[in-house]
Amino acid sequence: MNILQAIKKKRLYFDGGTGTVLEDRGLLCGNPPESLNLTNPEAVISLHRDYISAGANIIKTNTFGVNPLKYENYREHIKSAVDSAKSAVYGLNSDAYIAYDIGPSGRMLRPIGDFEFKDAVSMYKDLAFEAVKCGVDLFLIETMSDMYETKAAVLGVKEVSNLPIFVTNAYGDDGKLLTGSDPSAMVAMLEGLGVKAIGINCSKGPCNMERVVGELVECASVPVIVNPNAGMPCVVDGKSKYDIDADEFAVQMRELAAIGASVLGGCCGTTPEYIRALVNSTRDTPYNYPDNKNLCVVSSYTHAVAIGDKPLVVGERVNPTGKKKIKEALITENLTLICQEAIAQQDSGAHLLDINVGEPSIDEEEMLARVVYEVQSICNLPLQIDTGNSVALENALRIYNGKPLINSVNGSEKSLNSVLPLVKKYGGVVVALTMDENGIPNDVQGRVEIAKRIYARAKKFGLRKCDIVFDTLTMSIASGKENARVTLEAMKKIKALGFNTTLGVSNISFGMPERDLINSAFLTMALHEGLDLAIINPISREIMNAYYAHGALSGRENGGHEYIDSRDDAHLKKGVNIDTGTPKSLCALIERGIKDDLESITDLLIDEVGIDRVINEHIVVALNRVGEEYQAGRSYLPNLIRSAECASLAFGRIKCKIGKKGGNEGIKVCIATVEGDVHDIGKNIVKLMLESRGCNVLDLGKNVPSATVVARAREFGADIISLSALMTTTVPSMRECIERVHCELPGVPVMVGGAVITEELAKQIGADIYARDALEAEKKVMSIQKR
Amino acid sequence: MIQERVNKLDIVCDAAEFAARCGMPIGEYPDCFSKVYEEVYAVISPSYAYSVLDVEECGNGVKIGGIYTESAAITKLLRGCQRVILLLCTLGASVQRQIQRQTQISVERGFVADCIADSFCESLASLAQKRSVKMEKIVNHTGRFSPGYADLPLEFGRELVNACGLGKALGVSFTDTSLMLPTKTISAIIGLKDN
Repeated sequence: MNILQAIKKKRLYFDGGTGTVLEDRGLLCGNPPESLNLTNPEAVISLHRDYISAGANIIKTNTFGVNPLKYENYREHIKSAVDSAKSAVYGLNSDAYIAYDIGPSGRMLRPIGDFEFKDAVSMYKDLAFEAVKCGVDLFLIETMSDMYETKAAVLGVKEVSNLPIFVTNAYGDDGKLLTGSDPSAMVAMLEGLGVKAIGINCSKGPCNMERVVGELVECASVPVIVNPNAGMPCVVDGKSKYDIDADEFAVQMRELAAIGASVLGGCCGTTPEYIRALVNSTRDTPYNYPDNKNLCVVSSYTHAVAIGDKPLVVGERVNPTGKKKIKEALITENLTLICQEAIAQQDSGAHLLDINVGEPSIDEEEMLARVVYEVQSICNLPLQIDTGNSVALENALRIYNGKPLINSVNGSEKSLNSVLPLVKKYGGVVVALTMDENGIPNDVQGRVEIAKRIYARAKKFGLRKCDIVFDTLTMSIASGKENARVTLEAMKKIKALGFNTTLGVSNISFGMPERDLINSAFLTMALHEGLDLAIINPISREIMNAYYAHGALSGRENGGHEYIDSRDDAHLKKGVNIDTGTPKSLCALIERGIKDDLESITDLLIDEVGIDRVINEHIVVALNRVGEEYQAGRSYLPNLIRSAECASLAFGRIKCKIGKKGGNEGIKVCIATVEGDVHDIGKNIVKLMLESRGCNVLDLGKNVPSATVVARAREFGADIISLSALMTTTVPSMRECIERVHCELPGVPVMVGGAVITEELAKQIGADIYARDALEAEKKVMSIQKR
Repeated sequence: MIQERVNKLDIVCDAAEFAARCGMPIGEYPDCFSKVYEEVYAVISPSYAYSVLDVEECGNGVKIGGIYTESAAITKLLRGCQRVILLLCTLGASVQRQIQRQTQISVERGFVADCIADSFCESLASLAQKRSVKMEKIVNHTGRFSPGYADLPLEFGRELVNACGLGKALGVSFTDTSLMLPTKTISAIIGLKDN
């Protein structure tokens, strides 16, 4: 019987701790348990035998810490560890299952760390490949404290094996992973990826796990695994000891079994004695395979959002269609502006964000994944990945941290065949459009029939009703007076079939005047008919007023409170201007760091006096004054930064005007923090100062290899390259980069700066220019000639 | 190894520390300070861990927990000490994301968020130092000295932290260049004198 069949019938037991037991069997203190794979496999075999005899029916291979980052001979370790497990199982003629044990890599994934997601997937794929060759029954991915790394491991395994995957994570005292994920977010993602059992291990004893176990049991449709430590550790005579004995462990575990934990075992500090006591104490505890919860859930890397409990807002603004600024930002790869839109929508009350980068002049296959990654690095809302390009979709789904909303599939064969397999592989809730090769049916029944067809096909991929949200397609009333009615009636009928629904609300008013009025009214009508996901502009007060008012009127839980809270915010954002003598001259605005009205004033001034005078008589004058104040100690770095931000905004308007007429660009600067350094605050300030002077800055980010600096600077046509480093350990990277630039881009000067860089050091490493601080960097760049 | 999760109410963003980092006079704050402070404070997750290690002078340098360094600065600091506390403190990964988020809103906010987080981190290190020294019942001890100060290399800190398992306990890892991640993390050596 395979393990998935077994787990449906009875409770299964994992083995317990490895290091603790092996320390008594020859493992030297401080050495990792896997070191015995090659030096003393007999000890490992005897460990497995003892656990099997104690009643464990899943044995973990002694490979927790084995990976290519730590061991060159990792393949030998894997073979030996699997052979030891097999030897124990076959030797005892046991039907115990062998789980290949995968632990964390020890490195932190980007954006927090420096380990690339794709490299992590490759590494885990490699491990899984070796394990499958040696012959195991399942995979256990355990003790991960980062959702992203967990996903990398699951994907790596899935790509080489169809064996079942079990996952247990190490949750902290706050009931979350180290990187902020709560149990519901983990369950959503892991179930979407097809993981067969999910749980918690390590960090603490059973009684401290109750809350997380309860949350897991409540939302998981797969068995919940609990593998706790034997309490809390302390050091006695140089060895780790734990404060719960086997009997107490068993008692506490019985309580967890009673609340629904399905698969039980132990972690650090537990021994065969603990497992024996555990098996004996839970033998008679009723076992029920968990019910299918049928939850329609998406998640970010922190939390899950349930669809269908109450209407939710999907922010629509990251979409180049009809939005010049977004389109321009995508073309120029100004992802800062995209991120700012994401943050603004989150702050305005969006529950999810739509990400769409579809624009003919953009490489969507590359850009969509990049934008998803960048937005997720600063915003913890679940995302709706919105594209008709299946390659772009797969690239984005692969790197998405959580379980996304996928927009979309439709009733055409091409779409069904390309999108549904991706939903199945990567997990997600898919938005299904009620249209097909013949277009959008004009009638209600036509759309409902397509919906039924899409669902029938989705079922063949193993998708359930809760994995699909239908969009009955909003068409503008400008092109048909029945359009709103048909959309809403179709939506109502599909809802009655048990599905959740979504609509792109704003489409209703395309071509009409005062669009927000129509959008608000349509939104209210749709909410009244049961709309679950409203794709709208959350920054529009009118639309959000309609959303909150409906919440209060419909009587849904907390609707009244949300409405009242929204009134407080609306009052603050009303823009009531208290007259503080706000200056209206551009020069004064920049000097005082005031952004309100700055752009419109810049536009007026450009029309009045021309670009050159705006630059020389306002922007430059203001910045020079601010610089003098700063150097005299009468103003401070935040003021300087703020003024530079204002000047940048003004230059942004100038660039728009120049863009229309054509003209010379400013000095081109390529800026980066060197390889090995992850600090970027200083670089960001320098970049801002340069932009405030009209420079065209290409920011390569942090931890940038020298080859990338040279290649991108060449492509960009940089007039100067600016490098920063905060730590002495990364100065060699800086030297290497300078040498490469001098060799491959002769004539392009390199400027260096940063906390550890001195003028002398700058000379030693071959830099052409040294800048003590951001202000000096700005001066030195402005003095060079354009190439 | 002792590990403790700290209640964030027990650490502060000290005015002097903030001013030193931000380059402003003590008691003066940028306009965006309150909002940024609120958002940074919401996500800090302070914790620390420490191990007590033996120290012995060895040739021109010193061995801490059996690991040798030639650093003149730490050798001088630890003269007369029999043991050290190796301390690791972190504000967690979420604060790093928050700083990135603030930077996307504006460079000023990112800078201010960074300064606020640094101040909290210093406060955490001071608290951890006090508590660890008290737990070990030590009366005489040196100040904190971190890898990266003077001639004590970052690589030495990495070796020590890894050998004690402190990083694993707190979810702290190292880059290839021995920088700690998450970035708002401090490691420090405190010399203990038994007399």
